Amino acid sequence: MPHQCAVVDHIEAEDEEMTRLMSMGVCAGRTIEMIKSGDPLILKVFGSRVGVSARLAHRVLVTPHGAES
Amino acid sequence: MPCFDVVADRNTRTQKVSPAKPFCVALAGNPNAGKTALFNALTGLRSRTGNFPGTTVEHRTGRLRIDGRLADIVDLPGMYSLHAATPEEGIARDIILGKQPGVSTPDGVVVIVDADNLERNLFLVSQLREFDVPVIVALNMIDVAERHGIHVDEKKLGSELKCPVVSIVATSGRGVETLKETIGDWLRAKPSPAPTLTIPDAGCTCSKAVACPFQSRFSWSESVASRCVQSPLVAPSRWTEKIDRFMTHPVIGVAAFLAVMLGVFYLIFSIATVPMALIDALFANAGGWVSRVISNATLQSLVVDGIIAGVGGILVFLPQICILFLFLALLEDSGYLSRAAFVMDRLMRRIGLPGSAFVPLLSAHACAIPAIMATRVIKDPRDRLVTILVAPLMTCSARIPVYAMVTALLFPHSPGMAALVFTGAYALGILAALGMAYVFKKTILPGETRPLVMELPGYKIPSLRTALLQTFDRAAVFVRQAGTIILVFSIVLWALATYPRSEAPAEAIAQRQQAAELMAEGDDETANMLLVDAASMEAQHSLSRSVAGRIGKFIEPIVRPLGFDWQIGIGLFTSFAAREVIVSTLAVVYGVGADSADENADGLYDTLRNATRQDGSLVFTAATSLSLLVFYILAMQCLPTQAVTKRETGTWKWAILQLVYMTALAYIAAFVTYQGLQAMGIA
Repeated sequence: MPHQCAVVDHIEAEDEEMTRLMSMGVCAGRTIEMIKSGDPLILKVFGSRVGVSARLAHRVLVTPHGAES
Repeated sequence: MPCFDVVADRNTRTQKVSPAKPFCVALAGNPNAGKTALFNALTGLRSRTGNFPGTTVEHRTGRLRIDGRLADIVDLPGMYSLHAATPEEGIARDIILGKQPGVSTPDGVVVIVDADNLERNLFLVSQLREFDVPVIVALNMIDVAERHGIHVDEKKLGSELKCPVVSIVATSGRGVETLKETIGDWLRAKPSPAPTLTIPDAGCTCSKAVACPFQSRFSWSESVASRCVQSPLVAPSRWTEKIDRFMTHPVIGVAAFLAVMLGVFYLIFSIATVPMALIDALFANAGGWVSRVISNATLQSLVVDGIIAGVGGILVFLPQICILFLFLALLEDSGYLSRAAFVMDRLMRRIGLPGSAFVPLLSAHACAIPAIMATRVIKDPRDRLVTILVAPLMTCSARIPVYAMVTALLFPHSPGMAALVFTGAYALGILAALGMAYVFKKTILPGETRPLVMELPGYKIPSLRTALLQTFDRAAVFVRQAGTIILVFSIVLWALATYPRSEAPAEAIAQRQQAAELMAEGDDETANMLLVDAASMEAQHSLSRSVAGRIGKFIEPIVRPLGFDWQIGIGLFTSFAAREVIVSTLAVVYGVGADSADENADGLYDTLRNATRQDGSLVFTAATSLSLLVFYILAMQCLPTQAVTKRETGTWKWAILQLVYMTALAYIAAFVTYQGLQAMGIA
């Protein structure tokens, strides 16, 4: 769902591309926002926008804001 | 993932102090933080671009002069962290650690950070500050930050990071003098090792443990930023987001992108005509001047017909190439190219290529050379290689004269059919490229395309200065690389087409005598016509008996199934280095003369259309013409492209593969075309 903020819970199966995404700020405990859904989708993390393939983004498990973890 | 303990490794490495070695400054930072602009501001035109040996990664070095002292500057590829996730980041990391062969270990690192985006940028800074190498933080884009109401306390940041922090705006030069002064401190007195920072819990890596190293570093970044940065309570709505709503939309975004590219191509083909005509005239005049200055006929021919014609033929495309470079640089700087790659990603993945391959492939429609250089935006080396291999299949400007000739032979009075032929030719090139890309990804360069991870930086007005510098840089590379190879080949081909010399045919001698008589009588006009005719006859005769002519006859059995004879064979041979040469070669071969081909194209086409073989049959039948067209659509006949391929891939292997597979493809396709048309009864 667009424009939803979430906190990253954990990452499944790290690899090189995931490392790149993590270096940009997508890692456990960080808040990210999905600006645009689809494939590829756009995430907002640390104030910058990142285009990400859906199959990579699906390995980022999040807890939506407001939901009980 | 292995434990990240290279910190200890680097700190124990002994540095030999050799006074002769200039101070080496490495420029590091996130992509899109403005590193290139800063590099240009510090070095101006005193920089060189090359490739790291054996890789496809660009290597920029330059000289910096402060107070009469010189320092070397190395522009490292952009990286988000020292955990290298791409080959570029790997090389950047290796350079900092002193592990990159051929590059001296940096004596100091200037890390450029985006003030508008400080927290994420501090991640890299924290990693660099764990080494004992002196670091200066260049806080860039403070103008953008100020516009968004963000204020960074430079001094406080400096005390938190325990290193100098200088605010700059790289594109305007603001603060760059102060930065130079600070770097000058390093040059004046060798800096003492800076106190290193220790980030809590950042040592080890893991994926599910509580203290994720990324997490610890980011938490640290956040806390530092919270102490040094003041942000407005309400984030102002930004232009970037508004524009992106359209630019990243799957339908509107693609349409917008195609419109932008159409605009760029229109500009290329319209603006370029003036300088192209100028260059053409320049070389023609040079030819005339040389003819007057050099009396030795052989030398004259070598310079005029060999060197000037050969090199001029390539340099005439320089305006188009430069304009394409310029627009690509402007689009990249504005931030738009990342949106283009984003929006084309889904479509491109169907053939196994990433979205970032689209712009290079599209650019190849003007010229494959800038396109191949533009493939450096493709992160995955395999994908980049595949794109480089198939880019030359796209119809480039040099093929257009050939298309024009074939269309004139087939459909002289039907612009509708001519347009159809042209469109079909472009389509065939595109389909062949996409098809071969698919094949390569499935066979010799297999591998799932890496998923997209691409930052979409804020839009900004592109810097004309940066773009011009980049264009000049790349154009210089092209001229150097292509120019030298073309020069050598022009001379070789000229020699092959000139030697062994043969006597003028009897008919030509007779005509010359006649012309002399007419001149004596005062009938200059008829005399000149006869002389021109005689010259063409001599050229035709001489070419057919030269080595090139013999090669043409030699390959005739191979090309006959394609509907070609030995005369066209000569053309295939001479256009090996540059495809458009076929037009002038055919002109000579069929006795029209290269000069009149230039002035009177229709005359040339008429002659070719009526040319007959020994047995009286037409040479340029529909089947032969179409077969020739198909061959030229697909064949690799461009030595400068091969030279650039070699440079960008680091080895001749891939350039040779290009030549081999494209020639095979062209042969098979022309064969099928000719035989197919014959079978259908179309001669």
